Amino acid sequence: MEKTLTTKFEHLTHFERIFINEESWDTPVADRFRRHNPAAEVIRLPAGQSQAVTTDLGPLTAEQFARSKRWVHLKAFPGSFFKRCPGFSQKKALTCCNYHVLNLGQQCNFNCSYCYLQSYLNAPTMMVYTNLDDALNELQEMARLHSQSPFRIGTGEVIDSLSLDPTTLFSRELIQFFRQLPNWTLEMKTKSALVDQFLDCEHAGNVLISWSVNTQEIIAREEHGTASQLERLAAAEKCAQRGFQIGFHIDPLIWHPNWEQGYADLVAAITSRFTPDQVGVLSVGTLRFQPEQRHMMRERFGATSHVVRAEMFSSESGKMRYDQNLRQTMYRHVRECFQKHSRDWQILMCMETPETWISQYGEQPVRIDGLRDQFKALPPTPSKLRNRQPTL
Amino acid sequence: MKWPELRPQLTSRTLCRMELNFGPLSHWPASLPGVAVQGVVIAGFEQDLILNHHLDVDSIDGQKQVEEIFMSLYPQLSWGEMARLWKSAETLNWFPIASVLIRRGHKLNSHFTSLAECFLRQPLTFQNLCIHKGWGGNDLAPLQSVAGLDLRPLLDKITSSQLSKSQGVQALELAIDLLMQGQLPQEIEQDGEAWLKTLRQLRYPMSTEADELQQTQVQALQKVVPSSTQIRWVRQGDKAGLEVRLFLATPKDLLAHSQALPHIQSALEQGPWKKH
Repeated sequence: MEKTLTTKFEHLTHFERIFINEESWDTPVADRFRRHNPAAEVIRLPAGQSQAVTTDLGPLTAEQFARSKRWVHLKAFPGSFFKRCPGFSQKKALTCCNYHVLNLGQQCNFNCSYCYLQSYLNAPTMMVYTNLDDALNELQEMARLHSQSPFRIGTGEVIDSLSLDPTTLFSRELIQFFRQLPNWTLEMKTKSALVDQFLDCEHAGNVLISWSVNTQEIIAREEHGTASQLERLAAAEKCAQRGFQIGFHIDPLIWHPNWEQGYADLVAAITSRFTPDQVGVLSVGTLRFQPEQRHMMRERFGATSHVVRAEMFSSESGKMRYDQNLRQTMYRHVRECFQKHSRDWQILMCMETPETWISQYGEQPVRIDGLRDQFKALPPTPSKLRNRQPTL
Repeated sequence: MKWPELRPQLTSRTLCRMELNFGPLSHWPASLPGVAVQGVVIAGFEQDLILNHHLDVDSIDGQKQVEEIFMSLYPQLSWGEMARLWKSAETLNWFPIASVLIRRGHKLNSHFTSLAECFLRQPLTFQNLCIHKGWGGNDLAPLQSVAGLDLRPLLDKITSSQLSKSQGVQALELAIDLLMQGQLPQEIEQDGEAWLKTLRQLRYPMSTEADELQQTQVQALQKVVPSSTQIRWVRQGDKAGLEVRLFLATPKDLLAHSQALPHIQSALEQGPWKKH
């Protein structure tokens, strides 16, 4: 299997430098990184070295951030892999859908203009954690207490779940692990079309492969290095055929000339290929970012970006957002496009305010059939997991 | 830390070997001598008489002493002054610039130095405005997106516009966004506030148009509300809506207003107020 994959993904020569800590040097993941990136300079680091290169404290410059996508650091992560989605910490301002995240690395080899990592990361390299076993042990510990609770766990919060998966092959081990936890759902979220590496894995029907999708205009202009809309949908079809749940996140909705037609075409592309019961999660969210991020976006992407040109305002949650009426118009349009096809499409709004939920649905989601279960409070993460801090 | 035993000596400025003149805007009292460390003047750059401190500036303790002396001389420095100080101190290996920056809430990193370089390339009049008004690093960040362009006409306009600090900061960002989009008007004849309004209209065309339309429509409602009630369309961040102001000359007026409220409600529901 691995030999086939190595041949198949030889085009993934992305990294200029690969830093590998001593404890990760002999891992299969490190071996595959070396083989899949033959042009990269490989640098061996002492065990436990938290950062590959000495850097300044504080935020990265635009140039440093861009470089951090071309340098990858393979190491064992000493902290907690499992945590709640950041939306939970803004519960007063936003409606939270109980999502949990499992971070197996950070930074992304794609380059989206609106990416929130630009205001979040200050490490000089991308990181991939080679100690997946520790992450699985952590999940096992949680499972001992709450295997019956319907946890939804995603691996795509601070790194694309699948863009490097042909090299890491983390998906195969995660799918295997989740077979013993049928009440939990594993979500792998991506803007790639890289799914062949796990399609042969047996699963328990609780693995959701989801795509962040957008109009082709936005993909071409804002989501640099990612798969096209058609490639993503074709990959989703392959997953659906193998019995995986699939999901789509139309997030962020970005205003651009002919946006209504663009999103109508996207909805048509989805609804012509999939039925509502094949799509486990369908979410939408409008463009949003931390105020300080606008400077880096302006510097990195310039005025041709619809994101840089966007008319954004400060919102109650502190993020920059479109005017509330425009947001509601955009949500309504996408929702109506889906519902023209079938009333069975249920759409989540990601990181939105209670007012926006009420304007679209007339209710908070805990009162809506079909969405209620996702928004019900779940047991807290055990304190010994919650308090485990990384020694970065 | 125990205050060090310093033995400063009064000396002539002509005997000092160099100065760390970073152009602080604060005025040095004419009746006091300037201050130097190891013959490098660090304050009172116009003075003929200098109080020179002899310190072991290569030792950690000595550098700490330099830091304390400097902090006592300059209890407040703006971001722009810190940028100038960093540049002026580049060749003075012993000057504890990183510690001084930290005590002013900044970090000596590429983020700081690249912005400082960009700031220091701008006209002195603009630099002085930023220092005088207390602009922060984040306020100046838009400059980095247009590092290769001649911003002099724009920055001269901001400098001469009598804008408040927050208005000036807004004008810089709006104008740079428009410059990058190729939409910054070449002719700038309006005064400060009118110019800022024009910049906003150009940078936020859709929202401005929608808000102006709403304001026009809302004005029609003024005819149906009591004369002591004022209504206007206002934007508060990502939300826009009606602001209703009631004027009370006596406590009883509130009761009268409350009786009129259903009429206003009815007018709003039947009137031209509609969603964008």
